[in-house]
Amino acid sequence: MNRHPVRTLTLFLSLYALAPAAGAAAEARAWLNQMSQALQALDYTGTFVYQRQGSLEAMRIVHAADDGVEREKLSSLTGPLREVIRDNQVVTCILGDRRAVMVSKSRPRQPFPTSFARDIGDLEQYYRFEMGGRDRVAGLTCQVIEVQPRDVYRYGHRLCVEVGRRMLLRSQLTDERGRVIEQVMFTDIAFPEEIDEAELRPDLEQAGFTWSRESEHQQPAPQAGSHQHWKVERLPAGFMMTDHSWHQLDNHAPGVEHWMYSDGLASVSVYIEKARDAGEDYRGMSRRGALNAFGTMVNGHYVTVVGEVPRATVEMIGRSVRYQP
Amino acid sequence: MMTDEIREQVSALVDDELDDLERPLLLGRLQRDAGLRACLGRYQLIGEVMRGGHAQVAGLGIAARVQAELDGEPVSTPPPQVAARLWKPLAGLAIAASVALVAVLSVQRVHAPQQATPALASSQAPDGAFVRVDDGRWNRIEPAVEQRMNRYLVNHNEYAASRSMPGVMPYVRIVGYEGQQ
Repeated sequence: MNRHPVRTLTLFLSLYALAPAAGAAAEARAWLNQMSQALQALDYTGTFVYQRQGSLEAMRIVHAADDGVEREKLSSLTGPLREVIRDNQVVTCILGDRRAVMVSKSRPRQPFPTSFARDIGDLEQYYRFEMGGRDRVAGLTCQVIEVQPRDVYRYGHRLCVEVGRRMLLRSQLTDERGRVIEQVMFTDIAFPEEIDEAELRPDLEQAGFTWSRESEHQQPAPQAGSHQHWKVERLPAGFMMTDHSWHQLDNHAPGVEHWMYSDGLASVSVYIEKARDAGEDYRGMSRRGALNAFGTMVNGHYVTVVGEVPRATVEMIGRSVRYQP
Repeated sequence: MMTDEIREQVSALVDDELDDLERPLLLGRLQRDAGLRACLGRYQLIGEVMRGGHAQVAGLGIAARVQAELDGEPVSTPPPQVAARLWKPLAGLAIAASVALVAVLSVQRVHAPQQATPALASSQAPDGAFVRVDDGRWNRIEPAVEQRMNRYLVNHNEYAASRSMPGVMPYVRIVGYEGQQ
């Protein structure tokens, strides 16, 4: 017989009390999962605003999905005309004001949460997932989902996901105090049956523009043992290496070695490229909205850490890069 | 021992982002901690230089100047020669301003002073060329560095898109236009 009825009852009651919270977290993650699928699978065209400290811009997006092949075009509606056109082969950035075109390879997108996130254990170790209230964006009712970091090394997300199609209508990145660092919000969105081919073509005439192109050649694997020379000694808890590769990002530029680390939600890249001049002073820190970068010079190489993470994170990682001959 | 959190707060103080509850706590701490004052001085100096050249107020005595501000005392003028040394390499960055209107990530290229002053180097060696720069203020950058950063950013976006919170965000930062200076 049960000799500890009170303890058992207490345990039972406490589990019962916890259940709604756990249920809400699971529900929030289910919404994120469906949102991720909707973003990839839906055809949509819309106008949104992009806001970060002291600036507000408007952009238009056209997204088409045919048999799992995604194509999209993003263009600025304010300031100089700039366009990013992406398909399953390449990403083309056309910068009207710079008269420049950058072409690079696209990489397949994965549904969220990635299998990787499941492998490293529970994302809930590093983030809290919560259901918020209902709101209205672009004239549509949406559900607020909160993803809050549990430490200072990652940002939070406050999303509003359309109740019907699970489309992301508003996305805010928040700092450790819950303040919005940057946000994207649709002001108008449509879900047409079909996207006209012409809508996905560039508007910019590119005659006379300077082109740079990621090398088409098969990239060699990172030199065997190179990871034994370069070492990232400090990473925030939960970040693990997800990719290690070598790119020639511009046919006129030297190759760059690339390490990618992720905690399942946030990603940080470490780029290491041989410096043209070993004596060059390449050091600094910068920020664009939620994107932070840290640059330093190690053993005659530019070491650059880039990620949608707080400054503390890129700095911690960047300062811990060592070369061991 | 200076934690990242404290450093974050000092930086927030420089940017006037601390709220009324946090500010007195940090100011109290600054009064007790010389290392923290030096850190604040460094951030202020860098912030001022980046924000458009109040280089004349920068210098050796900035930590002391902060102390004076904390004490409510009048601020004395620091030695100008130190400021000149700091400002010189940075001035070159302004040349690139006209070509720096790409709204892509860029790393501000900053030269640490060749002979680090005690105030700049008190808690961290010359490596302290850590720069805190606000949006829209730091896009004076050498074209070569800028191009390299653009390449990294596009590449990072592609990898991050399959490893991160999904959204429409990644390319927004490329299409977005960095406001005029």
